[in-house]
Parts: sequence; C-alpha cells; structure tokens
Amino acid sequence: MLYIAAYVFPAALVWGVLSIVFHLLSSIPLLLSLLACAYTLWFGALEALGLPSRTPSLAWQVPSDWITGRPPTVQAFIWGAALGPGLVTRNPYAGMWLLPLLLALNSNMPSAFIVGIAVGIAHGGARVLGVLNNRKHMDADPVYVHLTILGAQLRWQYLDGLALLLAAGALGAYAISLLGIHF
Amino acid sequence: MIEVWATQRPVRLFLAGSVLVAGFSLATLLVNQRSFTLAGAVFVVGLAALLGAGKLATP
Repeated sequence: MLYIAAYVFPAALVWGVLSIVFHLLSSIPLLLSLLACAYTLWFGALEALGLPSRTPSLAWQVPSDWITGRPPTVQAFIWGAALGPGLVTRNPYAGMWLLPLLLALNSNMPSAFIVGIAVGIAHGGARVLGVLNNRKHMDADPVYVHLTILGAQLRWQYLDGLALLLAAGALGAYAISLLGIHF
Repeated sequence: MIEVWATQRPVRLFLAGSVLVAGFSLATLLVNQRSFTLAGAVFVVGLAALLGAGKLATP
C-alpha cells in the first residue's frame, strides 16, 4: 500500500501543478489543437504502422547513490517520485507528451486541475501496478524477461499509436470547429 | 493468433485509417453536442493509465 502511495501521490501532485502551468496556454486553443494534431498524426502513424521512430524522451535514470544505503520506505518514495509522474525517465511512448497539450486545451481552470490530478493518479497507479506485477518474474531467466518486456513494449507502442491516431482525428475535427466550420 | 493477424502491414494500415476517421467522426458528434471537453478529459485519463501500464521496462 505504501509502495502504491509512493507512486500515486507525487504523480498526482506533479500533474496537478502541470495542469495549472499548461492552463496558461488555454487562450490559444486553435494553435494548440493544430500542434497536437500534427504531433499525434506523425507519431501515431509511425507507432501504429510499426515504423522506426525516435520518441521524444529524456535519458535520465535514477542515480544509484540516491537509492543505496537508504531505508526501504525512502527508496520507495524516491522511485515513486521519479517514475510515478512519468516525465523525467526514459519514455518509449509518444503519447506521453500529448497529455500536457490535452490538459492545456481544457479552458476551465478547476476542471483542468481535477483532470490533471486524475491523470497523475491514473499514470502513477498503472505504473506501480506494472512494477509490482514485474516483481513476480524476478527469478526468471533475464534473457526471457528482456524478450518478454520487449514484446510487450512493441504491442503497447501499437496501442499507443492507435490512441494517438484517434486523438489526431478528434483534434482535427476540433480545430475545424474552432475555425467556425461545422458539419 | 489475433496478434499475428493484427500486426500484418495491411491490417495495421486499415486499423490506423479506421481509427483516424473514427476519431474525426466521434469528435464532430461530440463538438455538436458540446461534450468534447468531457470526452477529452476521459480520453486523457485513459491514455495516462495506458502509458503508465505500458512502461514495464523503463528504469
């Protein structure tokens, strides 16, 4: 339970703050939706079609001296604070950078803040459940584990690509509606 | 079985195109019903959960 809280709370906090910061951009919805549409169309097509792509990502990893020699509770909170929000470590999915853009499209500040917190809880919660699930396979052959994870990542990239293309279509329709054209 | 089928290039192309058109149609409907913001919120939370669950190997 503590391990779950260590991921979920920092994620909710970070995404709640991010939703306030990105709300400053909500006054330019047309530009935002066009930018998000172009991004989702490009990366969605690459991921869904299985084409080689370099997803925008930071290469930072949690330094080992942050972890070694610390009590397990502190270790859990360091891992949780670094991995829960999902922004600073290696990220294999382009969908990650769509989240702030979509938060900025919400013109209502309290609503954007609540959605931001929900995004953090959803990401941190799902992330920690994945980590806990992976612990079951700690004793398995490392090569087998590596190949399993690689296969899962490819499947997830495909799903992410489809989700991005769904968003691309939706953002295109939204941008057209902002131009005053209604179907 | 379904995984092998779904990852074939023509199926990928078909699914990608279908999802793009579905997103456009759905959003057009939602904009007309003034429910786009609510649907967008549900989508962004769902996408966050999908991304979190998918990060199995990132250190």
